[in-house]
Parts: sequence; structure tokens; C-alpha cells
Amino acid sequence: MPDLFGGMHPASYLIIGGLLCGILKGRVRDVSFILFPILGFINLLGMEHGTSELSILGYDLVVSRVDKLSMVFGYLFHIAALITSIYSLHTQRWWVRMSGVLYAASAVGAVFAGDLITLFVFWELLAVTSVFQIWARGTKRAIDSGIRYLIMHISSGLLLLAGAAAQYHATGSLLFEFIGLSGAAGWLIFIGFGVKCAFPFFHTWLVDSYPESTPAGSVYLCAFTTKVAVYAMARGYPGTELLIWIGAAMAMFPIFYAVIENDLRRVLGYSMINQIGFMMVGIGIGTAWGINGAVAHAFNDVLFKGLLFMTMGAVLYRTGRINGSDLGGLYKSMPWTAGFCMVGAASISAFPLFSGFVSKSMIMSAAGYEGYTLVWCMLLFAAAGVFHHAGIKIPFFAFYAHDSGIRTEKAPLHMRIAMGIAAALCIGIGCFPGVLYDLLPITPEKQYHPYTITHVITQTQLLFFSALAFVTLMLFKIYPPELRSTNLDVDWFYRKGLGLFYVACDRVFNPLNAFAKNLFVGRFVGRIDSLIEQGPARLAVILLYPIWKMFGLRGEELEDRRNHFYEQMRLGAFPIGLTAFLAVILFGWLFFF
Amino acid sequence: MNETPSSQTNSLAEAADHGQAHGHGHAHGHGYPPPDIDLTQPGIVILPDDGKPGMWDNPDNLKKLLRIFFISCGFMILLDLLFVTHLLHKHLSFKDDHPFTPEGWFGFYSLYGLLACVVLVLIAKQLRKVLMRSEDYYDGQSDGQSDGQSDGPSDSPVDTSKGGDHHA
Repeated sequence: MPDLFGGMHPASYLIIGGLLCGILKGRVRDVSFILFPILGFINLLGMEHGTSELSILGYDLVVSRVDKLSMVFGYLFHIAALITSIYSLHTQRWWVRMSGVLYAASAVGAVFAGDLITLFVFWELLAVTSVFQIWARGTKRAIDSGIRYLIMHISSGLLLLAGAAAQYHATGSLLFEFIGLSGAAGWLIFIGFGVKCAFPFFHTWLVDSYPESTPAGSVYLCAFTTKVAVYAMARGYPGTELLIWIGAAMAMFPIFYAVIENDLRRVLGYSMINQIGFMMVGIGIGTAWGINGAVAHAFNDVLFKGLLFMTMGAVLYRTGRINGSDLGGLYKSMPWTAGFCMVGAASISAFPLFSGFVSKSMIMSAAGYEGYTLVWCMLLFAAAGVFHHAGIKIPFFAFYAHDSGIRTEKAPLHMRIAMGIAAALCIGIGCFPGVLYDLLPITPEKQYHPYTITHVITQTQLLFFSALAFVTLMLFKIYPPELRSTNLDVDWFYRKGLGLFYVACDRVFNPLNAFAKNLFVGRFVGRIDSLIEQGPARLAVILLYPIWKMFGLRGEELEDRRNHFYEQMRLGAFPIGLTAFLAVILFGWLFFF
Repeated sequence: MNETPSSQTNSLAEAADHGQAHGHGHAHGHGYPPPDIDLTQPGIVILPDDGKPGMWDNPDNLKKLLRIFFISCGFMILLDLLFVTHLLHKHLSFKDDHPFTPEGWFGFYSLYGLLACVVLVLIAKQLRKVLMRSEDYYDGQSDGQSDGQSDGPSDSPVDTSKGGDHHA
């Protein structure tokens, strides 16, 4: 292996695979679509820790840095690329496939980037390649949403670039190591990462765009962008206390939205912010358990959230519907998809033997062990809440609940295979967490053991009684029904607020403008204009009037002369002969005297 | 979930019957398939109801499930007795000298889960009063029916045979 695969950049196989998807046709393209993530994965297995540098324009760029932290994300993104490739085999358009694989390649490139400039390049490539997964839907909503998505992500990249420049200015180094919130550079990069992490107030791009993408597109989107950001945070800002509080807020607020949201893929979007919140808390705590927990949870989140997005994508693909209010009873038509959805739901809810159980609890234990009581309570609330909306609501309203009467076919075979792989990994990691733990970046002094009797019992109690709350509220009809609706979020400020701002500007400034125009252009300028136009004529008439009177002009004759002269003077229309005669007299007078 | 093989073959047979039809819209008369579903989109398959009741159409099954669920909830909370009676040691998340003690109390996790979810739903319900707008709130006058997806070349007529096409 090392001879064949050694020395290649980790992202190179995916880049080649992506470009080939743009050229090849038919079955060969399908094969390369699946083959290159596998080749890339094998390439990764043979990689040795270290860096490779490239000198461009006098800067030494570390295009690839291989260590444990980047490797675990590298493995993850190759697995995700394989699963999403299989899932999206029905996609015919070459540019959707090509951008999908290149998107995965950008994610791999970003996590192996050893300096801020390389990171910036892949960071922007992530934004540009991913937006096609939204635009591929082809609706006006999707196009608009894609543009908003792009604006957010390009801005995030620019913040990163500005931060990198400031960092270079301050330290003379572009290496991407621990950054911390010490100076302007630290803050700029922090906010740049934060936009991609879906920090509160920046989170709207996520819940805006994911539900508008194609069925396969949302699976791509959920796997890469936010996880690259989580990686970047884990690399640049471990132990930053602010992250604990941001993370706790992110874990809390989306679950309220998720309960009342109707579009089931948007519910998953909110649930995604909630999961990233857990990861941010882990990174903020910064201990071995905290960082490892965050990385492990990111790994699991790609698999179980991807699985849930795949099941909802399959429902959308088969029925054209995704609103909870329009679905229900699909377990009859799509039994496999329903089953996979339950596996994803159990994993995200952290049931014992499912993957969430072995990673979420590591973060919570880290919070408890370091004595963050309030944060721990918030996370426990969020853990109960996530079961409530992602664990129960998603499968219940899509596949059970009130029978919508829709009968359809099973999901296509390739989709079921992709879902099957993800489900198997969810259960596999849940049952054998040691495999994942070995990949984690930090070797802790005290190994974390998820399967203690206390943990199994308490977690099951938490989940059963959360379910009991759901059942009780349903039986007493207190549970809010699924309603066709839009729920206001922070994006109101730029989607409606900006519009209102425009209208307000229109109402305030345009009348002001008109008033000013009226005042200055209409009156003031008019006055000057008429002064210049008529002033000399009037002056001449005023001067000549007594002279005419002296020469004995009276009454109508005087008025006629005055009007006639005034008109001539105003228009400058004196007969040429007269003007010439006067000029000759003037020159003669000048000459002789 | 546990669909019988016969119903599967049945629905597949009907799928074959409707293989040609589903691209051009059915004439079922009684509003099925629902008019909001764009049947020209590739992938979408809407079959007629085969009339077979599913597992959960039988209220007895639901009652059975609920009974099992309530009993297991009772069982789960009783497991806390093992900790209270010190038959098992409860490993707390916090260090031993940490002042936050409720975690060790009887039924803490059960009660927390129950209350958290009730509070969550009640607050979310109130939030609806503030946050909820009509579905096409952001769309202006454009149509809100943007469900479905396009995965074929949008400028050429969609090949309906692609609908159930399996490439794997």
C-alpha cells in the first residue's frame, strides 16, 4: 500500500474522483463515484503523522498536517463521502455529483490544512462546492436560500482571512495551532469559525438552507460543513471558557423551535445546532474528556444525523412531502426506512447500545467533573429534549401518527444500502465504543467507561420518562399539533427586517429628498436661474426708464418700448446691425481718446 | 415495520400496474393522489391504498404497547431503589465534595426527564403565539408549493421511467 498510495495529499483521491464525475458517464461514473472515497480511505490508513510543506510566493504553506485530531476527521469524512455517494446514486446531473464529491474533498483538505491560508482556501471551497446541493433543488426558495447561504459562508471565510492576516502581523506565523481569544486576530477567526459552527444569531443559514436542498443534498450538507468548523474550534480554541456558555445556549434554544417546527428536515436542522452545542461545551471545557467527547460526538453526529436526514430524504423523494402535518402512516409503505429512522432516533437520543450513548455522556461527565453545575443541568435538559423532538417526533410524525393515506413504494435500493451502512455503524460504535475511542486525539489519564450500571440505568430512566411526557401530553391532547407554518427566527431581521428597513428608508428619505429637491432645485436654483436670466434686462429697463421718460415717451408708447426692450434684452436678441454700430462707436471712442 | 410478505408483493404488483400511469397523473376521482404532490418529479411514487390495515391500525396493539411502556417506566424508577438501598453504588457525574447533591436522590433522572419535556412543550406552545406565521410568510406572492425535488435536467421533459430507477 504505501508505495501505491504514499505521499498523496489526503484530499487528492476525492478531488480526482470529483473531477472524473464531471467527465464520465453511466455505470463507470457510478463506480468511480463510490470507488474514490474508498481509495481515499485506504490512502488515509497508510498515512504517517507529520507535515508536508509547499513554498508559494515566499510563504511556507503546510498543505497537509497529519496528526490524531485531523486523522479522525479524515476517516469520518471519507466514510461520510462513501455513504452520501451511495445514497445519491439516483442523481443524474453531473454537476450535482461533481460538486458533491469536491465538497467532501474540501472538507478533507480543510481538516488536514496546517496553516491558515490553506485552511482559508478549503474553507471557501467548502462554501462554493456545497451551495450546488441547495441550488440543485431548482425551486425559487432553494435558489434564494442558496444565495443567503453563500453570503454567510463567504463572509465567514473573509473573517478567517482577515484574522489570518492579523495573526501573521502579530506573530509572524501562519501556522494553524492554538489561537485563543487574546487579540483581534483571535476574535476575528473565532467569529469566522463561529458562523460555520452555527453560533446563536449566525445559526439561521443552517435551518434556512438544509430543508431547501435536494433529498441527497441535505445529507451532504449535514456531514461536512459544521463538522469542519467543530474541528477548527477544537484545534484553535480548546479550553476557551466562552465556548461553554455559547455551547450551552446552542444546546438549549433550538429544541423549543424543533418542537413547533413542521418541516421535518428543519426539525433535524435545529437538532443539529443542539448537537453542535454539546460539542462546543466539550471543546470549551478543554479537558481530555471534553475534547475527546466533542470529537467523538462529531463523529457520531455525522452518522446518526446523516441517517436521519437520509430517512427524511427518502420520504421526500418518494412522496414529495416533508411536513409533519402532511405525513403519517408511512411505516406501511416504507418499513425499511422507518426501521432505519428508529435506529437514528435511538442513536441521537443516546440509548444504551447506540452511538450517542458513548459520546454525549463523555461531554456531560466532563462538565460534571469540572463542576459546571448549571451547564450540566442545561445539557441534561437538552438531552431529554433531543429525545423528545428528534427521537420521537421525527419517526412518529413521518411514519406513524395519523395515517395520511399516502401509499408509496419502498425507498430505492441504493438509498436503503446507504441507510443500512449508517445504521450499522451507529449500532457498531454503540456496542464497541473502544474502536472509536482509540481514534480520539487525546490519550486521557483516566479512560472513560460509558457502560457503567449507573450510567445505563440513569440514561434509560431519563429517556423513558421523556417518552412518558410525550405519551401523556399526546393522550391528553396538550401536545401542540403539527401546523403548516413558518416560525420566526433571527433571519427575520435580514429577510423581513431588511425589507422593512428598505420600506422605512423609502418612506423617510424619499419624501425628504423630494422636499430638498423642491426647495433647492425647484425654488433656490429657479431663483438664481431667473436672476441670471432676467436680472440684467430688468436692471437695464430700470436704468433706461427715466431716460425714455426724459425723451418724452408717455403712456402706451412707453409701455411698448419697455416690454419690447425687456424681451430683446432677456433673449439677447438685439439686431446685429445696431450691436455692431454701437461696438464701432465704442472702439472709435477708445481709439481717439 | 413488520409488513407481511403478501402485502409487499401486492403493492409491488400494483406498482408495476401503475408504472406507466404515475407520470401523467391518476384519475382516481376522490382526491387521491393528493393534488399537491407533483407526480412528474422523478422518484415520486404514489400507489393506491391496498386497504390492508397496518399493525397500528388495530387499537388493541396500541393499547398493548402503551401498557408495556407504562409498566417499564414503573420498573425503571424502581431500579433507583438499588441505589437508595446501597445495593449498588451510584457513580455521580460530579466530584464527591461538590455541593450539587440532587443527582443522587431517588428518581432524580426520571423526574428531570419528565419535567424537562413537559416544560419544553408548554413553553414551545406559548412560543407559537409569538413566532408562528403563515407558511408562505417569506415567499411574498410566489407559490408556497415548492415541495418535491427536481433531479433530472430541468429544461428537458422529465423521463417518467426514471421515477423508480434503481442504479445500485
